[in-house]
Amino acid sequence: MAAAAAEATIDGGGKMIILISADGKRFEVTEAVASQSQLISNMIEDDCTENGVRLPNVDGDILTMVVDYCNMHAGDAAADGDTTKASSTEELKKFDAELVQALENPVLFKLILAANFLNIKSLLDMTCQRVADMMSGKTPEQMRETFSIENDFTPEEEAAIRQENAWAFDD
Amino acid sequence: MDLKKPNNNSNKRQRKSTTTTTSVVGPDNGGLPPRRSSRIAERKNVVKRARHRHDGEQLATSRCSQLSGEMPDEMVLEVLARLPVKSLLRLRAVSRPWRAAICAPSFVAAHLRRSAARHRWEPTLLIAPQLLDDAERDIIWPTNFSDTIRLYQWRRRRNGQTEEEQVGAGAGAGAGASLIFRRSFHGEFRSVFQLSHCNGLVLVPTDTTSYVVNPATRSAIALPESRRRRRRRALPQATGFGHDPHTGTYKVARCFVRSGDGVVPESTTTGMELCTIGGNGGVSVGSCWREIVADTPYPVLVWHTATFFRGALFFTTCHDTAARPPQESRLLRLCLLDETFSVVAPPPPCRPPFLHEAFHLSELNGVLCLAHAAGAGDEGTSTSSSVVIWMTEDGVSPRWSKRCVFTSTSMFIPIAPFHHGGGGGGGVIGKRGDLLFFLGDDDDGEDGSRIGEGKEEEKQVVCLNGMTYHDDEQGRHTVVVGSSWENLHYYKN
Repeated sequence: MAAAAAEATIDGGGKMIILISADGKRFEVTEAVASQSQLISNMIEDDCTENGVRLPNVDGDILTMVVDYCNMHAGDAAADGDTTKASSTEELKKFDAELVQALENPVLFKLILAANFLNIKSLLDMTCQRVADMMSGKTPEQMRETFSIENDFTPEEEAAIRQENAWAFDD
Repeated sequence: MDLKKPNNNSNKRQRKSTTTTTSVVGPDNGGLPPRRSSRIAERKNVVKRARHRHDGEQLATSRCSQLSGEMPDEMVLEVLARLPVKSLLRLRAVSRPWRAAICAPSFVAAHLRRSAARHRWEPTLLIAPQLLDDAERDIIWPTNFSDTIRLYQWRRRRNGQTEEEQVGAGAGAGAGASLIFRRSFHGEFRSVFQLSHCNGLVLVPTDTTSYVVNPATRSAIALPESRRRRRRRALPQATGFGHDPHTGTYKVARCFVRSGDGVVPESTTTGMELCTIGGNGGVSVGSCWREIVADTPYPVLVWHTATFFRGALFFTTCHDTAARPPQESRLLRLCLLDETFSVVAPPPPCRPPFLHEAFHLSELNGVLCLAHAAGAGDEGTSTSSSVVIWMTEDGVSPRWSKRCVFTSTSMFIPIAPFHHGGGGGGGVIGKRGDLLFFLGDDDDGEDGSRIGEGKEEEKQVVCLNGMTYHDDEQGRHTVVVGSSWENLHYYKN
């Protein structure tokens, strides 16, 4: 109880938390923003964030995107459209689309891993869906290239599998 | 207080770190300026070490990743679970580990759960039109039914959909259905009876063999021949298809005539036989047909497909049996766990007489739903042309509540619930004749609220007669027969 009182929010912005990326970049965000990560939310609950939160497998440029995303989305979690800070649904959609649209695959994959590691469900959902959308029209060859996969079928086996589902191959 | 709290917290933390996929805060205080040391800091280091160990294990598993050099398997599966079926079929050809992952029962089940959750309020309809081999129009009494089974997927086009999604949903007048399953059975049967659906699997009963089809994996198994089905071209008997949650198996139930000729009801007793299929949500080798020892308490209506609801199949019995007055239909419940029959009470005002022509049972998102074309004088209706929709969550001894009444000159069959999204309310999709309707819950959903009254035409969304069936491979639209809509099902993808 006493601890909770001491952490009382400063002018509504909440306590600040410092996130530190693998390459040592520091990001200062409010608790409300950071709590969208279930991982950090748990740490806040357990009161062990005052030394800053080190994220040894998230690079600075990826963490920049994550922090942007969390800043943008802090509104929906905090209050149901009541706060002045809450962005409109359209703005958020546009922001989300722009965030993932331009990303090259390796960056997108890193963003997925970061979202998974930090346990930010909405970001994980969005990034996985983006990759799924990209994959949906791809051929097996293109997939092998994108995901660095070795084809371990014999040519006969592969032909048989393709034959089995021939209709799925014509677009 | 201060001493207690850290202990509680560290317990809690460790519990969390084992149940979630995330964990870890990096090495102890690595690049940070040294801070005051305290009991609390020591406690945290312990916690961090514990969590770090856990993470080490996790990294080790991700290094064993087989699916991709770029991402751990877990994440690849997260992505794959979001793909449409057609893409998954294609991607089976990527590599052995991919094929194994996509075909694994656990993945199939996860994919089904995800799409069911996503489409809970935007249902996809599975349509199995009876198609003609020749594309000749205006045949009055066609005989050239195709022995190819085609399943089409139809989804309502909504405002705010992207152009890409709209193309996926089919071009044309907003009423296109796209092919998700096709298989030729080369003369194995001449006609297909009414299909039934359970958890993404489809039972295809025919005048010879019955099949269970999984459109998601494009697999189909033929059920074994029954002793009772030696005569080819037998009369179609009632079938049902459901899932027994206790054993994790699927069960196909089929009526047969035990004695009598099956035509004159009073001289006929009917029994039921069951065939159990696999487990784990996959279609595997079917077992033999077994007969339930007891006769059905009443003869079951032929040409009828049971409704599956909460571990039981609901059949409708005949009412025209002089041997067993009074003349009315009954709801017959077959429990798939203990394979026993019981008679379930219909909604109170529906009796007597409760005639099978006047009602239709369906399951909508975990609720058993009975649409009853109410006769004059029934409680709560003022005209003879109303359809009352009753719902219950209890299939054993149901307490029916009246959900809505609307005027309709013919039977309305509820198929699926829908939701506008964004707090825009929802309602029920149903069909009447060859029209699909969206009946909105305009009111606050109270019992007895009247929805759609007098406004059906405005709420009609799709004329099934005008629907275009997109069949990519053949590159043409196929002619469909007018009566094909009998095989229209709520399909949770």
